[in-house]
Amino acid sequence: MVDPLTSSIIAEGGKTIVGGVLKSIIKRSENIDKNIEEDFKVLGREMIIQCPESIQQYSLTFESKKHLFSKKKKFRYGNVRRVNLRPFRSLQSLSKVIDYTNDGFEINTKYLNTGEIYLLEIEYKIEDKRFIENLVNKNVARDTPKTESDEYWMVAQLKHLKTLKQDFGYIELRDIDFGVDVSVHQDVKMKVPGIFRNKLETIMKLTKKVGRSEKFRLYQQLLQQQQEEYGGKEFQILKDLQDIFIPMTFRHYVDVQKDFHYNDCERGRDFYDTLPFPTWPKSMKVISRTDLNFDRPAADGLLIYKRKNLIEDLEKIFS
Amino acid sequence: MTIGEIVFVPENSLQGQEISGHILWDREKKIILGIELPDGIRVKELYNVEKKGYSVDGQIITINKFEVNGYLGFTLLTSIYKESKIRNEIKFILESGTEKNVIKKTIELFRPDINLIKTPCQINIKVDENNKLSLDNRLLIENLGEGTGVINLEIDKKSELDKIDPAGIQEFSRKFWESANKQFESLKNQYQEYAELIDNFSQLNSGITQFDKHGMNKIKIIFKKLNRACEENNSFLEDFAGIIVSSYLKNISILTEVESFIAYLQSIHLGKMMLFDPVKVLKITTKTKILKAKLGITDLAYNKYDPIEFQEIQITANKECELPIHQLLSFIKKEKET
Repeated sequence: MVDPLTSSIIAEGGKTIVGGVLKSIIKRSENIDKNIEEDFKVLGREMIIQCPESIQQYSLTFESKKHLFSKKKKFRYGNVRRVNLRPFRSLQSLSKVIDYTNDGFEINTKYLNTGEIYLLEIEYKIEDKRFIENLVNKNVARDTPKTESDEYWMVAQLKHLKTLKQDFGYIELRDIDFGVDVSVHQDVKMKVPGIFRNKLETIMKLTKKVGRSEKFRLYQQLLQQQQEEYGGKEFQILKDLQDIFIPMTFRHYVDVQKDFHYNDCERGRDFYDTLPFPTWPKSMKVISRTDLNFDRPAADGLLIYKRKNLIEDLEKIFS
Repeated sequence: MTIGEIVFVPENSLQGQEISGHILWDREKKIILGIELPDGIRVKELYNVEKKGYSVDGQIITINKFEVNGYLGFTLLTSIYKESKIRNEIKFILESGTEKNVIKKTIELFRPDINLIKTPCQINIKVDENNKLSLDNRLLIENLGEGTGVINLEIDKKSELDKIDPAGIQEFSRKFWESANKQFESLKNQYQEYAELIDNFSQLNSGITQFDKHGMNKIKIIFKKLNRACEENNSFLEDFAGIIVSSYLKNISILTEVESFIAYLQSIHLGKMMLFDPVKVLKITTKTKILKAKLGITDLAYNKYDPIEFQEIQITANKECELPIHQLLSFIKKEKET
């Protein structure tokens, strides 16, 4: 059955935006080509879109086909983010050759040799933030049914594959970001012993405004509790628990497989929490990445949360 | 070589969530592709299909014209089923000349299944000399499903008892928002494109009281936009996070780390259940008062479930006290998990 809310099931939405952005970046590349071809022979081209930064990276290799007069070749096709020119043999960047201008950049040809092959890499920012969103369908598992080891699926798919095919070859999409909220709340809750929690509650009450007799009573209660397990180690334990959720540590509890790779993790933003302050994460947001191109229009990945390992480390904190 | 080389459909999903899948096959082979969907699953979108390249007959979709041969992507909409766990089969039929390949993929669709097992008509609270509360009765809740359930005690307008913030949190909350809102003004000037989003986030201060469609949609949209803004603009992320952290640190003296950890523990319950308002309290007096409320339920995909209605409860205490919501409810784990 087709979703009655949509008149068509063919993904047309966003095609205009994708087409518009691609038209402008292709046009810019064509202009660069024409300009280069006036003095050089273009040997190869490549276009990559760096997704997280939304950057068009256009690279071309060229050979100087005639004797070059000392001049500045101007490339006025908008504000350029970075330009790098290097001889193919040494791959050492020629920093003196490039001058940045308000509306682009210039190549000072006096530093270039006839017959040498060069690699020119140019980066432009893609301003339309909806471009990637409209070109790629991203979907991830929101919850998992398993309790031992959680597996979250991730899927990336090109919505408009045809648009990536251009005269010079194919456009590549690199490092498409995916955020998966890995639930960790049950594990912390399960492993915090009641005795430790009771002690914390007493400490918490002591920080409040209470009467003298009540304060005395709480001190007595705390002194008694200090004789029990974890006495005096409460803040160290809290610190150790917090450390579990720093990216460097938590990274070891996740494994990203198949077409995706691990990039980073951060504390999840918990929408169900009405508390206006950051407490402890109920989830960790794990960022994974994948690439798509004309020959690989879809990718699927698996994020495995190694719950058992995290539980073992929590147990060590309380052992 | 078979026609269908790769067919991907997730093995499981929360019910009501969109799921995506794809099929990749030899680009040299022209195919006709049939997709047979089970009841409760609908097609939302197809990728790489020509405008008039498909037909639909009930639960069967047939596709014969692709923009580029060799690939089909799709997004499906799943329903909330009567059963909290159901296994469904999606059938893909790939035909190329005389070749025919049938691929079956099974998907397990799950959801939370929150049940109220016991509702007392009266709760008596005993406050001892240590101000520790003992309740002679509680609402007993169980999650029979495999999805995480988020539970909100939604108070009726006619109720004599209402949810309030406990004293310490109230002060912290007020000062935190005062400090954050002041800084949000300059953030709005700096990032004018996010001004409306910042205002909407700030309005969350007034709280979401009910898991109604409007409230859930509001939260969903605000946080979706906030996530997108943070992903696309790193400096906004840093400045926004900076305000939250500095407002928190300025007022940290009011709220200890210990307290925030306790609040965290109070909000989580074994058996995949979370409480929406973990630190809110009911102000109980020695005079019997009536609690008229229901349990609002949602899940991690913001699906809305029918609220669980329950009878009025008379609550009284031997001494005036603040009853944390989490103490009113008792959560039990499923037998097989214990």
